[in-house]
Amino acid sequence: MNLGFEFGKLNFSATLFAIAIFIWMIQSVISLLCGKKCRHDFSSFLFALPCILVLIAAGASWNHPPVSFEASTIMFGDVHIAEKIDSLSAIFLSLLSVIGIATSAFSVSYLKHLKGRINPSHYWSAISAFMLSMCMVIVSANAPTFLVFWELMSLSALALIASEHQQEDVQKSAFIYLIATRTATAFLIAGFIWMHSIAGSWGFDSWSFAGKNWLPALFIAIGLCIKSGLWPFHLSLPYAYTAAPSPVSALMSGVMSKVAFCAAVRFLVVGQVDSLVIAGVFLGAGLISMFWGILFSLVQQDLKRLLAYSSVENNGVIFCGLGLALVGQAMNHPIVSALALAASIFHSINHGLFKALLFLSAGTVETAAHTRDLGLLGGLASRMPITLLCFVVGAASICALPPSNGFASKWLLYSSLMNEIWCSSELTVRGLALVSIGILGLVGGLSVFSFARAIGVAFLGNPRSESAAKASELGVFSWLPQITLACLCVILGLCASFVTGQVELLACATLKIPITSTPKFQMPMPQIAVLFFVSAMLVYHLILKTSKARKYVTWECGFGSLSPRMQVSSVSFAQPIARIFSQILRFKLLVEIKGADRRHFPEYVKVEPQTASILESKVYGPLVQMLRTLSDLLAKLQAGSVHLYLLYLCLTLLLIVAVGTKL
Amino acid sequence: MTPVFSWIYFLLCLILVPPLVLSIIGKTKARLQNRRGPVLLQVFYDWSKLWRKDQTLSSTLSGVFRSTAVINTVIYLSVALFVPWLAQKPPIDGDDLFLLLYSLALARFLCLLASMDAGSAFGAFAASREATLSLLVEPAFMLTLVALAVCSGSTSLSSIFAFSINPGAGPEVWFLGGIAIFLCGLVELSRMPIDDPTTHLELTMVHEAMIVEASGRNLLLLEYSYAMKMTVFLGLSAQCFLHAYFQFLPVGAIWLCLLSVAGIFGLAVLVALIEALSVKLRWRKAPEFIAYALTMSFLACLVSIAKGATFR
Amino acid sequence: MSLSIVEIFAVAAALCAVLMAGSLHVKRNIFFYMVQTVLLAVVTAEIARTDGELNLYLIAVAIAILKGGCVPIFLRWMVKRLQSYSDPGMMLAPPLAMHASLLLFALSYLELGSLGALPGSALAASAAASLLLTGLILMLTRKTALSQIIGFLVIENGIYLFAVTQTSGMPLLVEMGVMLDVLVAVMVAGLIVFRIQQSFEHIDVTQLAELRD
Repeated sequence: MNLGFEFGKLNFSATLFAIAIFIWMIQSVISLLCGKKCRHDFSSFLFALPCILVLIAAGASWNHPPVSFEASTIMFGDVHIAEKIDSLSAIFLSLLSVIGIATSAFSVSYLKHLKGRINPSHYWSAISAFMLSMCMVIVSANAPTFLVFWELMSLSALALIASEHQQEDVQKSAFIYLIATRTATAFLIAGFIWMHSIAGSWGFDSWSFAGKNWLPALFIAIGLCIKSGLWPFHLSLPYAYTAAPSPVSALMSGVMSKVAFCAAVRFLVVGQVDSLVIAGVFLGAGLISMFWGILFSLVQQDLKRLLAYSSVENNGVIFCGLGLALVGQAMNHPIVSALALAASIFHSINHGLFKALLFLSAGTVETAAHTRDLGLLGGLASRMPITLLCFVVGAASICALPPSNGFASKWLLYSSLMNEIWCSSELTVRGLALVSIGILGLVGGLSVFSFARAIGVAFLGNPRSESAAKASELGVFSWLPQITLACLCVILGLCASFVTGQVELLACATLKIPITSTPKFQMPMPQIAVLFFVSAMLVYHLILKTSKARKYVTWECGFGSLSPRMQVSSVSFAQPIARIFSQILRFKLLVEIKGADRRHFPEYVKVEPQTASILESKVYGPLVQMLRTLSDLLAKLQAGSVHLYLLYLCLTLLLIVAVGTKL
Repeated sequence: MTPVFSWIYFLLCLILVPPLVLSIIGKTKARLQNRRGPVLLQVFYDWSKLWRKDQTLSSTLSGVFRSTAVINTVIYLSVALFVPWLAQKPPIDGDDLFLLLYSLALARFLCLLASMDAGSAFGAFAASREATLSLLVEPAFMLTLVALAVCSGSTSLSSIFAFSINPGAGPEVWFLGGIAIFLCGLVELSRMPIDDPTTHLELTMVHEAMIVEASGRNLLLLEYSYAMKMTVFLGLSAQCFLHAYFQFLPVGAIWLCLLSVAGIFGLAVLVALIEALSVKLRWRKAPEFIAYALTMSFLACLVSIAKGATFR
Repeated sequence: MSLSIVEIFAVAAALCAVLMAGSLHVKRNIFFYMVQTVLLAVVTAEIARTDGELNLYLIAVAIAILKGGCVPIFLRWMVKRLQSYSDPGMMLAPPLAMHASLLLFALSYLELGSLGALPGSALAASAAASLLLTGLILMLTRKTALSQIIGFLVIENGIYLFAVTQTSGMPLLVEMGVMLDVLVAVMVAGLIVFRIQQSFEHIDVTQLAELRD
């Protein structure tokens, strides 16, 4: 198979990259051929190997001049496959490979415990194709390559979401995801064709969105917003991430949405967009989706759905940073745009890591306790301490609590907003930046609430069901990837001053601004952490450990027995907030009390909280209904009579002739 | 002022002021209710009793609970070290305002987990209320500090709160900021009118119900970190008022030290006054009270962006 | 940027109105109204001092006594009579109403900041506009007739502030006439509210729509 790669001419990283792609391609085919005989450990190894190669390739090309290579034998006119590995793609490739390695190990234990609910050959085949296409999308250098692998990525993701296609809700989720990704691609294609007609070339390097070219950029921006699930296009995310197997959710949330972000940086930032409209779209959509996402994650009952909504929030943070970078570009504030771009790139890496970690932990909980419903979990802390620890680390990072990596990237975003205030003399811009800071603060508080609720209800207290009481750790393949990711989160947080420095350099290079004195993340995190750890140990050993402790029951006012059902439920925990934001959440408490003396001796009490998504009920529902009525009208045209079809043909011909002669 | 003196002053305040603040509140409240009240050293006696007592731990508890008391104590100690709640402070790196806010969030996060750890509804409901209140307060507190930072051109707390003759923020920003931080403190510390810390009814309390499972030295640590948090909040607020005053009448370093401690105690008396005079708000009315804190911070922001110069 | 005394007191009066929007407690609102009116009296006196007009001193005293004293006392008496200590509120929750009026305050500063005809009264003009708008918000978000009256009084204060800062006041006679008008209007409105209370057993203005047919 000669795709025109001439290995002699390729440099080291490109060779490794090409080999990795070939291995994935081969694995994808072989797994499909193997059928039921597909072995997990072998497939997992075959899947992880290219990840390692890609990681090495990415490391080798970091801070090096970009490497371009083309497969020029596959040509249709001026359309050919072209790739470019530069520092920007290297950083995303390394994220992809790290999460890929973690999921490859985790998949083994996950699939073994599911015992045949998922067809292994389909799974490994699709996931290899998924990885391959994501890699290629990240490095693609022209529109046709991008679109081909973008499509492959979406379709293989669809195949993975539909892994358990026997269940009806999975079918529905896959369908919703399909619609979202179709729409995204349609917007992208429109934007690409428009740009091709303007620039006369498919290569991304020759595209410039400056000045009047902001309209095609808007198309591309909307397509990418839909793909990464920003408000108001976020509905596919909760469905898709919940239905997909946990390792796939980890990959989708951790990597695929970052691929869309990487594309956005590649097109819009490198393409020198200087329109405030595009910046406003990203900034507004980012701010709304972070608030909206975290608010909805707060009332979810399903652990993975909660994580999916929090992905909406984090994508919002990332795109808010991107929008701010574009604002800086448009208003000529290089410090702001460098800081904001660095913030969003760093946050997308961080989010990839901790969200993958959280999805893997959620997957462990799901397989161990056989449920994801928070109402049935609880008390896992004593039997699954490693998963608890990993989940806590992930949650702390996602809430941006120091010293995690999330804090460093949020700090960069705050710092860029502060710099926007200091740079700009316009009152409106300053006010909007302040409002953004306020929203970020509120979102921070909400995410602490949401994740404390998730951990408290799922892991702490007493088990709420039989299966939760019997849960236990799944073995080394399940906890090792989690621990690795958790360690990465902490290490990135501790080395934040070095890492952010590097990312700021990358941002400056991407924005093509001279490296000026951008403000640095200067907090001495390692020192603080060590000081903190030592003093915590001192306090523990000197004060707490020396005093005697006696075990007793939990305080229940001397009432006697405290049953697990008397604990706070996930619903009641979120109720105060749900009530305050009831307008957005459509929160209602349906109370039903029956009995002769309802007031004093009710015989039957039923309290059911209800939340609904306004978008789903008020926007998308009617839209789907309208489409349905329209298609019913269209269906009437198709009566099944041959004569009628002939008439249509005749009419169409006449119309074409009429139009053709006019022209 | 020499560094040695400033260390001595700081450490003395760190040890003495937190319990004294609690004592002063208790004493003032008692006097306002025509009672004689506890002696000023009562809090020290209480704490030494807690020190001597054994702990009782629920058998449901996991490691989260025990580590929380320790970590929270350390967090509040380091917050006290970083935050310029006294006019004189040994200089330490990393006193960023966002680090402060997110360290407080870390402490709160652990507190929430610890109170859900025992599997009792009391702690968990209190946790839910605490989280609600603090998340509503978070933007107000953040925006107040940001408004001050906008004026001073830096996010480092020690340069925001540095006493200089020609600072960025005018007296009105300091004044509004002081009010906002004081109101935020009332909510964050679950004092009146948000929560009555003396009712001891588990179903309505916020802070007290969260620590209902703690006992012995564990409780001591939690109580100490609560007192520390209160001191830091009151101290920050007092610093704001002091800055507003300083704009009109610059005074020397010694006076500033005395005035900051006096300001903290004065605000403690104010807390007691509010507690004696007002009633606890209904839970549903709490957001309306918090809205006042938010309004004050918005006003501080408005003034700061209208007046603050551009720095770069 | 240094503020003149007129501006400081005018902005303080506008802030009182903003704080009013955040509370449904009628007596508290009346108190804030009183503070606000007294502040306006101070503004008037200050303008009288700088312009050296004796008339304005008279008007300031009249405002302080009539609008700052009599009207609040009358309103408090009405609250007691009607037993309507708090308003149920409608449309916007009080915190949101307060933040909305704060936003309007900022907007009127942005839009009207340059409108000040007289030097040193630029902020006063935006404060007046914000008083007017906040009064409207008050009337929009309150349900009982009593709170509507308070909202109306705030609007009236806004108009007065604008007049006094931008035109250095109207002739004494006109001003006094207006003030008497306000006093009479409040009395009449109070009487009408009593009548409404008697006939419908509530003073909820939203239910007055039933009178349509």
